[in-house]
Amino acid sequence: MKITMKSIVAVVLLVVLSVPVFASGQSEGEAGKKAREISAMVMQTRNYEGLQDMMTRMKEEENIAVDLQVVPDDQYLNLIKIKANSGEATDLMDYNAPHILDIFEPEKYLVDLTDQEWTKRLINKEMVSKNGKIYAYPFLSTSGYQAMIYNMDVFEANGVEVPTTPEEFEAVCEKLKAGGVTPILLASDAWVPQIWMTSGYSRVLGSDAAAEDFAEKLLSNKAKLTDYPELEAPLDHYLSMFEKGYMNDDYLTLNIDGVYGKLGKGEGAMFFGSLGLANSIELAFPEGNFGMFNMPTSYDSKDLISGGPFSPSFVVSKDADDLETVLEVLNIWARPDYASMYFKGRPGFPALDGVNGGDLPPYALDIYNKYVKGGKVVKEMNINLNALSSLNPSTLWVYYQEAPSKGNMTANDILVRWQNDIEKFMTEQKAPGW
Amino acid sequence: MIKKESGFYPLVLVVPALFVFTLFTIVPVLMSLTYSFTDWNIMRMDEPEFRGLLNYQRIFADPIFIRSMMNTLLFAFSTTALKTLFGLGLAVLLIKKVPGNGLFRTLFYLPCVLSATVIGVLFKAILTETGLLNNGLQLLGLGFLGRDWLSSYGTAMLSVIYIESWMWSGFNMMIFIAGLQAIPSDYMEVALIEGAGRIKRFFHVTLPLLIPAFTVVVTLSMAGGLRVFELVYVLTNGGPGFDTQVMNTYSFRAFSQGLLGESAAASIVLAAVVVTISFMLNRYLKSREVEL
Repeated sequence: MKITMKSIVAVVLLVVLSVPVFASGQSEGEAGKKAREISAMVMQTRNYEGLQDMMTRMKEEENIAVDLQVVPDDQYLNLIKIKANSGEATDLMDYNAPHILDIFEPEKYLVDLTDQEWTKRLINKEMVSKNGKIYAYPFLSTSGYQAMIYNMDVFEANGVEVPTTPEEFEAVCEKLKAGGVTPILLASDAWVPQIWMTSGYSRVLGSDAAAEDFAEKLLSNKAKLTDYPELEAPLDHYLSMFEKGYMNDDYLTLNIDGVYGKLGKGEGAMFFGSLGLANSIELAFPEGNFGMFNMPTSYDSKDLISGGPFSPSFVVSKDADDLETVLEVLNIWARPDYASMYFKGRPGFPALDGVNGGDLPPYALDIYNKYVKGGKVVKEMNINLNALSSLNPSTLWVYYQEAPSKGNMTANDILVRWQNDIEKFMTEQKAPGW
Repeated sequence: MIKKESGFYPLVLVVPALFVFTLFTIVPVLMSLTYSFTDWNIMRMDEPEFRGLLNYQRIFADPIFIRSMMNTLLFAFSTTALKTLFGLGLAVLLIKKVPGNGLFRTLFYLPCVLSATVIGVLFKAILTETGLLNNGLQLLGLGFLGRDWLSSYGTAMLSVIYIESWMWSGFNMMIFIAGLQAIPSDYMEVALIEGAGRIKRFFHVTLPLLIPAFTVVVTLSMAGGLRVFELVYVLTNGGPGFDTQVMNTYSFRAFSQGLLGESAAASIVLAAVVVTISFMLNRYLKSREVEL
């Protein structure tokens, strides 16, 4: 029999193309379970190693694969809105709870999870509930708080200590500046400078009740930003840091990784961030000595700390093809052995009882004991003004960078400009009261 | 009587291409045009209401949009000029049969096959305060020239213009090389016999006969420049402030705020600008073409 080149090629192709078929058959046999797949969307910066490990383990043990769509943060919110509105949402969608429960009408788009077994172990049920029903699976009970992260070695080398009053804070900055160290680092990513103000606005208003009242009035067109002149104080404080030369010169181009680098190497001394960001810095510089303190300010005499009672969470779309599997996945992830994996390298406050959130650094525990247990925490303002979450990144957050770089806006100018943006945004949405 | 045959393929063969083109180009453009006259909003996707020209009035009253338009025109005209000049220069140098010219052609062509996002990220690292450019200047004793290149309007805009020109000069070089190779050698020989020097031959023989290549290069460069998005988005994201916003980033900004009708209106204005300028340029250059 004559074997032609055509036959050889055909046989080779057949073998090559059959490999994946046999391979998948084999893995199905190993797991001993039927192969299933669900889809999920997650923000790029939140596709943590711990979460990836949970998915890998679930594939190996349960033969359930997650078709994960990783989306850049700045496009994420619009994408989930469009997908949900056009009936093409993934089975699971990542976003912060409670924010996502305001973005979507839960009854219309999301699956009610109240009856799931794991909800009985939730530490902060309120965070994932709306109208008495639970709609999200959270990983954390709180994301922590916003405070000044600092390099302890730099403080020690320059002979300065953690400041406890606004005057001491200024003195520390002056001494660090004189020592050739950038006192405060700021990143060019627009979400970084706004941390100063989302924290400051809540602290200056003095309580959650006052902040909620302000937000309710602002969002229903019953009050304007200019009716609250005290909001200018955090802005003035932030702008004064530039005028005094405390901020890094390259704050318009240095990204967040660059900030971690400068802080880790001791080129900068402080960075106003959150517990999550402190985790990232510790991961990048495991040998470094870092600490956190609540920035003392003249506009907050009560020494409050702003916190984030929110958490990266998954909600389940009503369009999910295989709802049974999706709910099974959440049940598996809620098991303490799985849920603890989420905290690999990123210790935090677990959402569910019985889960090990890892060893929190001493400074995190100190703040927790002093402020959280002492009832001195206010919600950051972004939570109260969640309805503006898709407006602010391309307006207000840009003004926070434009004002110091061009010197063209005072605190009042920023608020007036933001008010105009809010009016247009809410009117276009035909929101109640507008 | 013998029936006259047309000599063309049957028109029915165009149908699949026409269907795809209609579905993915004509329909979206028409939908965009329709939505640009409505108050379509991401929070009310099912209920857009007609509002006439209001979106257009609003964007033309917005100083950021006017700035975006000016930046887009500045970007498109300057990159077209630079890409054409660099492309022509490279083509004239590399048309000669010298050792290694194949390698150089490949090297100069290479940037245009890379993603604009990759190039943006690469140059962002080069242009930062502690980046390669400032380090190089330092080594040359020109450290005083160093700066944060993307943090002020002038240097940020210049950087984006330069990078776009660097990316696409190689592509234009290839078109010019094809144009130069298509010029019959008889013309050059006659000019040589008539005593024309190198410069005279270039300006009076080569350039006029290269006009068809210019038509392609200028039209493509202009249309590409007007539609710029990725490079600006990655390098400056329209900043510092709103200084380097271009029309496409403006449209994206409106989209990200959920103002879909306004975003559509900005896109339609951009489409109109691209079509008008490209058409006028193409028509002008076509009128200057010489038959070989």
